[in-house]
Amino acid sequence: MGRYVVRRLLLAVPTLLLIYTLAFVMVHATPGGPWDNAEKPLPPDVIQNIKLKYHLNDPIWKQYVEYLGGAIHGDLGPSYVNRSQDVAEIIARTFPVSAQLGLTAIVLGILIGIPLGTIAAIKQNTLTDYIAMFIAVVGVSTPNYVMASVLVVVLAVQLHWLPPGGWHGIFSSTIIIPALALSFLPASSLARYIRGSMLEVLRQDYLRTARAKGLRERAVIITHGLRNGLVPVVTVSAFLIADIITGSFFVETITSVPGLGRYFVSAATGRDYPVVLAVTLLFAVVIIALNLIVDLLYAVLDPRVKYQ
Amino acid sequence: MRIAPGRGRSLGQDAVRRLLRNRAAVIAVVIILVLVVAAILASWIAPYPFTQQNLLVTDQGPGAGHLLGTDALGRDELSRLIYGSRISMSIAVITVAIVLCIGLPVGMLSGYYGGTVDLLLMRLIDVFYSIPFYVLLILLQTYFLAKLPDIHSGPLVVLRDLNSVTGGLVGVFIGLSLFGWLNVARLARGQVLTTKEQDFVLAARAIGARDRRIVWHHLFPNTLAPVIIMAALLVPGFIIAEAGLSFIGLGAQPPVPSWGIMLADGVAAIESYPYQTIFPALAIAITLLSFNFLGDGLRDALDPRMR
Repeated sequence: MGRYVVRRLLLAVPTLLLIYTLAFVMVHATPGGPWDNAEKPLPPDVIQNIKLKYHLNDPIWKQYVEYLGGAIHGDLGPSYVNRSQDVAEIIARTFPVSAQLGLTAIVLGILIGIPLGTIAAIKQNTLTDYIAMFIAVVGVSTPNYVMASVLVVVLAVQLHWLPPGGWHGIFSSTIIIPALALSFLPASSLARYIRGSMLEVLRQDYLRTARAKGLRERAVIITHGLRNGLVPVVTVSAFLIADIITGSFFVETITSVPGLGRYFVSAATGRDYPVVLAVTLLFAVVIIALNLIVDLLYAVLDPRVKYQ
Repeated sequence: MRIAPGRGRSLGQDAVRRLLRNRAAVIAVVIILVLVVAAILASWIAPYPFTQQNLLVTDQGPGAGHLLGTDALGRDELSRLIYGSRISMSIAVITVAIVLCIGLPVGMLSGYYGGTVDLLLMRLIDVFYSIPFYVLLILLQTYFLAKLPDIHSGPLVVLRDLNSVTGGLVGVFIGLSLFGWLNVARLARGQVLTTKEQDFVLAARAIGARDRRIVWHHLFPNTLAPVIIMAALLVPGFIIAEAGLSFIGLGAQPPVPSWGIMLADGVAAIESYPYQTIFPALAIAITLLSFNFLGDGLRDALDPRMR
């Protein structure tokens, strides 16, 4: 198994390089630059100075290598837009916010989705099952920004129960709407997967044995059923986490959460190259790491899976 | 007494019959057909052109003259919704067509012949899976939206014209197709790998059937069913991506109405005129629900184990 891990890590390096190259090419091919953000057109010598400062006159390959070298050392360059800050600083400020939001969302998703799916499996083909699965399909079909918009309209605007936006930390009421909006998709996905997985598990002989032994139904389901039913769910969860972390742009924009997603969007439209590059790399690392963790967890949880 | 053998039912006929019994799927098909018709006939059925502004009736609620109200510039919401269906439906249809046309052959041939081509395809798919989907789309759109208006000659003019025809969505089409065909290719390859070991393929080869006949006549029909299901279930993701990008301003460019743009406009006025958000949100949700129910229905109908 150790060799498998090493092989995967080695494969990750060219993948990251490829992603970096793609992002670098696209960002530098896009016309416009940091001087476009000034309200007034800048005089040519100022533009020259800016280019010198950010090494924009160097040959492309040199910029490519230099940025990569800096990135490995944690220096992700200065932000073109917020000139007094480093990209690393900005990321350090915004990533925790997105991470907190994402974590809350996935926890909510698990807390809602797993019971929903399990109950649907236990009461298969009854009204409970149909209602639960209908909710799940709606959750899978409604994009998180639609959900966020609707929640803001209903909960904040009409009912005034919750604030419509802003961010006051993970334990404030400002996290409820965005986390809920982000959690619907994971909750629904999990519910559907768990239902399918539990339907198989519930038919198995070892559950009949457990019931025959006289265990209470709840113990049967939770201890024996869920433990095996959860295995495929782990895979799904990892992808869901990756999706949430790298896809919270829209919800953050709607609810004015100062996270990395919202910052990435404004950087992309504002030609803030270093930020765009850095965030792309960061997200790619996150996804690759999560993929690897999922594969390893799979091997741990399911003793039938072996990697050479 | 001879009992005449009845006419057998093909898998296709079985599938259609089972699909029609699934009420949710039938409703979904009807809704999708309505949307397609609305998209095609938009100029005829929309009460107002989507650019027409009437600054005397801005921000009206649903009422006479404007069945779903007007937005901040006095444009009729209903008409914009109808025209918006064009964007969503064209994303659904065109992207799926591209994805199937590229992904199916590549996947099938790669699975059938194996070798270096197959290895290359697998590595390509692995790499692409690590690329953050939305990040790539945002990058592509930023690039195309900035670069294309400046191109006046050369081969890339085609892209520029495509861009204006699609309302600024060339990058979205390219990005979605890039991701979509990989998924389809992988599925097709998997199907071919399992099917080509089966006995009927061996029998065909023993009779002397050439590769092309085996692939086309034997493997293709078996690969088609799961691929169609996957295509139906890919559409919601595509529509979500396009609407999301339009929402943040990197998708369809005004004045072309996309449901995502309408949603963004609505969100800006969300505290005063909530209906401007609700209508596009409903439109998106209903479309996505329909495609998901259709995909689920297809999956149940085409499952050969339930024959």
